[in-house]
Amino acid sequence: MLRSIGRRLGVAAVSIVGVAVLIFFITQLLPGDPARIAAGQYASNEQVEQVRARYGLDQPIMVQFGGYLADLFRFDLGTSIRTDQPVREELLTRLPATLELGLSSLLIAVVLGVGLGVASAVCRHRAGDKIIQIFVVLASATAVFWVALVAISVFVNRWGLFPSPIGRLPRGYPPPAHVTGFHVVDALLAGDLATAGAALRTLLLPALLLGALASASIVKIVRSSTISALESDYARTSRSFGYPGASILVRDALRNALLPVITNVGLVAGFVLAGGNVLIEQLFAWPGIGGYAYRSLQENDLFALRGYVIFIGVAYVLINTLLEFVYRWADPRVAIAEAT
Amino acid sequence: MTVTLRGNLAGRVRLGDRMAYAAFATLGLIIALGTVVPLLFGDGDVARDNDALLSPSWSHPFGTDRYGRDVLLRSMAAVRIDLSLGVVVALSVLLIGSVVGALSATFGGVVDAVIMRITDILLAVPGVVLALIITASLGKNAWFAAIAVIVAFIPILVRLARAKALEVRSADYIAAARLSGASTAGVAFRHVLPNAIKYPFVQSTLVASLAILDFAALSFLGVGVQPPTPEWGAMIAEGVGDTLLGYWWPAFFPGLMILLSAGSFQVIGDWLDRRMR
Amino acid sequence: MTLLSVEGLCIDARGGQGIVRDVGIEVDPGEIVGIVGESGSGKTMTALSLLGLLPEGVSVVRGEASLAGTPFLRGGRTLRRPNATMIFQNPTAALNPTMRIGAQLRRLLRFLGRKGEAEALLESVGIHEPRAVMARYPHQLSGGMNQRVLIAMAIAAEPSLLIADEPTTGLDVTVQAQILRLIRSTVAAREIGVLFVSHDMGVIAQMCRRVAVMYRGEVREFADVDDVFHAPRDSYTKELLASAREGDDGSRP
Repeated sequence: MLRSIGRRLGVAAVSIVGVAVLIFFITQLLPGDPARIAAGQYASNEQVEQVRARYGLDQPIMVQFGGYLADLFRFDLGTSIRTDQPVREELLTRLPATLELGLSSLLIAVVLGVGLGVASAVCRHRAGDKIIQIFVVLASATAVFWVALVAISVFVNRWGLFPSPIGRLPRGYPPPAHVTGFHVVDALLAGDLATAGAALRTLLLPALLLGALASASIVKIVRSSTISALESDYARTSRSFGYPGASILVRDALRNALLPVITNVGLVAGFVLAGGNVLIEQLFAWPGIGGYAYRSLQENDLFALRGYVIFIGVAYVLINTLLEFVYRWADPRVAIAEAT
Repeated sequence: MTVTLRGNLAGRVRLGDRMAYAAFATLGLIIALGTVVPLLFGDGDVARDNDALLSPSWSHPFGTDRYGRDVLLRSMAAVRIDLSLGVVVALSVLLIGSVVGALSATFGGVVDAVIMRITDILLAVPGVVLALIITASLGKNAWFAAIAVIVAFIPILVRLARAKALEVRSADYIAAARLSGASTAGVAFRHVLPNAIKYPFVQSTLVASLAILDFAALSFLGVGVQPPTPEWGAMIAEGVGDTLLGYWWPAFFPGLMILLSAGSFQVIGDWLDRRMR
Repeated sequence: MTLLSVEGLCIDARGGQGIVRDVGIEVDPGEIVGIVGESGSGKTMTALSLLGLLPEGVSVVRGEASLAGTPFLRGGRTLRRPNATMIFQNPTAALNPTMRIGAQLRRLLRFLGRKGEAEALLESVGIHEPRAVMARYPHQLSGGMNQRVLIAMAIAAEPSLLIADEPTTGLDVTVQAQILRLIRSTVAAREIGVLFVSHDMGVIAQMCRRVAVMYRGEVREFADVDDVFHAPRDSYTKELLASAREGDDGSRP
């Protein structure tokens, strides 16, 4: 057991180093000239050379690589060209905003995905199932930035159901005292119900959008795993004893059907914290790391972008490693297969 | 790939044959209109300031954008670039992924180990982020965006093809071919690859769907197709400000085109999957 | 008096394709009655239909069945749950992989409104270390051990009829003999009638007094095992016997 955990952590460490190396060579060796990209499209040659010297880009590649690795080893993600601030600090100050949005979306995705997936399996081949399947196709074929735009213009601008997309709080609400960094939680801790409510209403629309789109993949997996669990031999044994349907659904079907969801949560987390997040934060002016990546991209801040990518890569590896441990704990078959 | 869950090729949707026929019809119509409309009426790239932001009407069914360009004509002109890129990405991913996966499975040993470690590392970064950093490093350009999307998807297809190839490799007729003196590479290309490619082929229709979404997302972020070239993601990006002011059509219709084409590929992939089993 | 009586049972797949046609079977109290036939003969579907366990798309369309004089199936509709339980082929898959044996036993006993007998139950089916077995998951135990657990669960419900669907197929030959002995001694002690489904003529001959020979959804012959073996009347039965003797795999004692 301990040895397999150690081995898994070793694999994670190797992946992280691999990601760091990969990102360096993508940004350095690809035909694009980082100094020129950083200096901007219309920079003069002189300006480009200045940028090159300033960031050590005129050094031999292996020297740069060594410096880069040494920095990473000290958790230094480099310096932003745009703001001249350390990228790590900039990301860390923005992280709570992204986590608040991302974790809410993840929660919505899992609850919605499992609920719809089970419902779809229980009423398989009937009307309810068809409707859920159509939702799945629509959700997985919709561009998140487009549906966000449509939602803002209908729900916010036309119907006024949610506050304007101008950040984490509507105009006129000062942010609550920083405790967890989550505005809803911090406002509640401060006993400020009005601010908590406003923060929640602001959070709801982007979280619902990200969560609903991300739920599609969970619905697919839960549906097929629930169906195969319901048609399994052990569910048949339970039916042969006359157990009530609810007991069979919960203890036989769900326990087994939810195992593959654990692995899928990693992909969904990648979407709500990174992929979909960059697009949503931009449209909702959400002050998180996705918005930061977007700004860096627009302003050719290659170092900030590189820091962001490494940050996300490390987080993603750690999340997936953690999920593997969760899976191992949840499925007795894995732990035993490894112990023997 | 930015908006999709890379690796999300596992679960299946189950829709009837009628939905599949509807998807074929939709895709056929989009391709037909995307070919014919630009030939007859042009790309809609003529800016007329007097006609800016006209709402949808008979003369402009999808309305006009802030430069007075016809949104319908631009949406149709974008079919060429968006659909063909989706298909090109899917085919490249299928081809490269299957060949590498089949080689990995056939040679085994060090080759296999190296290839698997590389896919591990590529999969250790969310696809978005990988595509973003690749395009940001290469430069903002449609071709680079397409390459980024291809690189993001290849590791999944390599894994799929490798798993299938391992299944095929243990089949009896491969042993027979080996006994009759065929070389390893010969076995890989003549026997393993053709059999290992069937399942990834079905998957590649799903890749096409995801590639359309990702490519549009990269363009939306400004690192794919550059304006004024008509492309759905870039058109939505241009229409953001107008949408928030109440002019919904310049961004709405391109997004609808993305939904219809990506959705059709998904439904067709599901249908093929059932057929080929 | 007859314990189980089945008459005119018809089972169709979706689309009206007949799977079982006009099947009639009887089991007396404490008697072991076999159903023998090749795969696809409808023997397993017949067994499953009695407990309402038919797979999706397959259903009883006609037929009557009663247990101890109480009808539970009439006109193709299930009226009530018969007091019967079932053991299956592939015992390891028939137990929930994410629950320990003990938890599965307790779940059943709680459902039956009893408690605290799990260990005694396992001991009664010849498991000597019930505590150790209860702490295990099904995939940590052998197929034979899992089948013992399932037999223990099946008799815990105190049924008057046990349906056994190929209970020893896939087990080692020695284990097979043990399980067969266990089934025989268990039902003999409790006067439980058994409907024993198998494709194996040898096993049937060893276990049963009467046997129904099924072929293509029909009962071709329903008679004493001795008569069927020594004086088969039906042409298909003759063929089946001939092939069984040819390919005798030594499973007969």
